[in-house]
Amino acid sequence: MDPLEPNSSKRQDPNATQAPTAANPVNTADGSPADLPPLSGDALRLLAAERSAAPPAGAYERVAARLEIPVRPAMGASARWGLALGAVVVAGLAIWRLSPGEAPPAALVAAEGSRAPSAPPQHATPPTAPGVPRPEAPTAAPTPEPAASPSPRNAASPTPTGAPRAVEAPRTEAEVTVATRAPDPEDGATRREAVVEPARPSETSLLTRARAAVRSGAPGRALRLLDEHRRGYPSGRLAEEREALTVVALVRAGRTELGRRAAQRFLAQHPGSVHRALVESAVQQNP
Amino acid sequence: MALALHAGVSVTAVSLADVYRETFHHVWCTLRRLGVPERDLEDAVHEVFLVVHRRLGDYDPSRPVKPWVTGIAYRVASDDRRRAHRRREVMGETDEPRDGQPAPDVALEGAEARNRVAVALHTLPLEQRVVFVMHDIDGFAMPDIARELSAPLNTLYSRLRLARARFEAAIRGDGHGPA
Repeated sequence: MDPLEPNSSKRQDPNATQAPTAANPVNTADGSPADLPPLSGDALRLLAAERSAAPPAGAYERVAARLEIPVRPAMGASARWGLALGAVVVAGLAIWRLSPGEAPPAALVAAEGSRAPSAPPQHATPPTAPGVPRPEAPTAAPTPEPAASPSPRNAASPTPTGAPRAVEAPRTEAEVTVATRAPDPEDGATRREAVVEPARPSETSLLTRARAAVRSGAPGRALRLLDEHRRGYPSGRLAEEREALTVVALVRAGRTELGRRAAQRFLAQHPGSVHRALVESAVQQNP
Repeated sequence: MALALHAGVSVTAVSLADVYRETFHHVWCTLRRLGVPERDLEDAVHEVFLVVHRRLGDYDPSRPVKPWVTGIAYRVASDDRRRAHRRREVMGETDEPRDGQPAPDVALEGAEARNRVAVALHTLPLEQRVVFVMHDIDGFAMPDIARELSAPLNTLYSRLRLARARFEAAIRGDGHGPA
C-alpha cells in the first residue's frame, strides 16, 4: 500500500460530529455551519503574521537542484543568490557553509566577489534542461580523486598507500558498500566536518556532500557518503535520490557494469522518478 | 507552454517545474505548520515534490493546485511524524524544538507572532491542524479541502471547530500540551 495514501484522513475522527445539518445548521452566506465560532481578533492578528512567513534564502534553489529543475531568474525573494551562480555552485557553497573555517573554493569566492549585491542574476553557466546532468563545477579546483581503475573491482578511492579499500564487485545495493570509516585523507573537509557535525549526520547533509563529491570529481568519496546514508537511513525519504546518485557515482568511478545494473534496478523500482533522465543519461554517456 | 495554475483557470498540461515554481513557498510553509521540524523541512519539501512528480498524471488541471499539493504535504507530514516517533524510540530524540517561549533574540513582532502561532499549532492533533491551516491560514474552500483530504465535510467542520477552540486556548496561555 502506498504509505502516502490518506488512509488516516479517511478514518472517522472520534471527536468529530457526524450529525448532519439539523444539528449543524448551515450559514447560507458562506456555507459554513452557523455554530462555527469565529476567530478572535488576537488569533486573526497572529494568523496574519503567520501568512508572511517565508522559507530561508537559498532553500528554493537547493531543492530545485535536487529535483533537476532549472531555476529561473526573478522568482522572488528566495532567489537572492544562487541564481547567478547556478545550482552546482549553490550546492558547493552549501557544503562550504557546513564547514566553518574552511576557505570557500576559489571559484565561489570569485563568483561572489564579482557580483554586486543588487546586480540582476546572471547565469555563470548556461541553465541546463530538466533531467540533464549539470556540468561539473567549472573551476572549482576539485580535489582530484585517484584515477579510477579500469577494473570495476578496485575502482573505489584507494588509500594513499595504494591499498584498495573497495570490496569485491557488488551484486546488490548493499554490496555497493565501500567498507571504511577511517579518516579520509583525500578529503580534509570530512575531518573538519566531523568536529561540527552532529553524531548522526542528517540525510540532507550526507546527500548534499555526496552530490558535491560527484560534481567535484570524487565519486569514491560520494559512494562512501551514499553508503553511510544507506546504513543510517535505509528507508529514508531521500533513498530514491541516493540510489540515483549511486548510479552516477559508480559510472564516474569507472564501475560501469555495476552502474548499469544499479541503473536497471533503479528504473525498475522507480519508473516514474524525477531522477530517471539523470540515471539514463549517466549510463548512456558511459557505455 | 504558459500555464496558469490558479483556481478556475484551465490548463492542459502541467510539469513538475510549473508546480514547483508555483507552490514551493506554500509547501515549505505548510510543512512547517504541520509540525515538520526545521531540520527536516528541506528534505520533506523535496519528498513532497517527488510525490507530485509521480502523481502529475492524476492531477486534474481544473482543480486549484495548492490544495492538491497541500494534501500531498499532509501525507508526507504524517509519514514524517511516524518516522520521528520511531526515531524518538530508538534515539531518545524529541520532536519538540520549540519551548513555547519566543527566542530571546526575537526582536521583530512578526517573528514573535509566528512563534506563538507555531506553539499554538503544536497543541493541535494533526488531523485538526491540517484543516485549520488549510481553511484559516490558507483560505481554501472547505469543499476543496474535503476533496484533497478525502474526508466528509461535516467531519472537517467539526475538526475546524475543535481546532479553533484549542488554538484560541493556546494563545491565551491555557491550552493543552502538545498534541
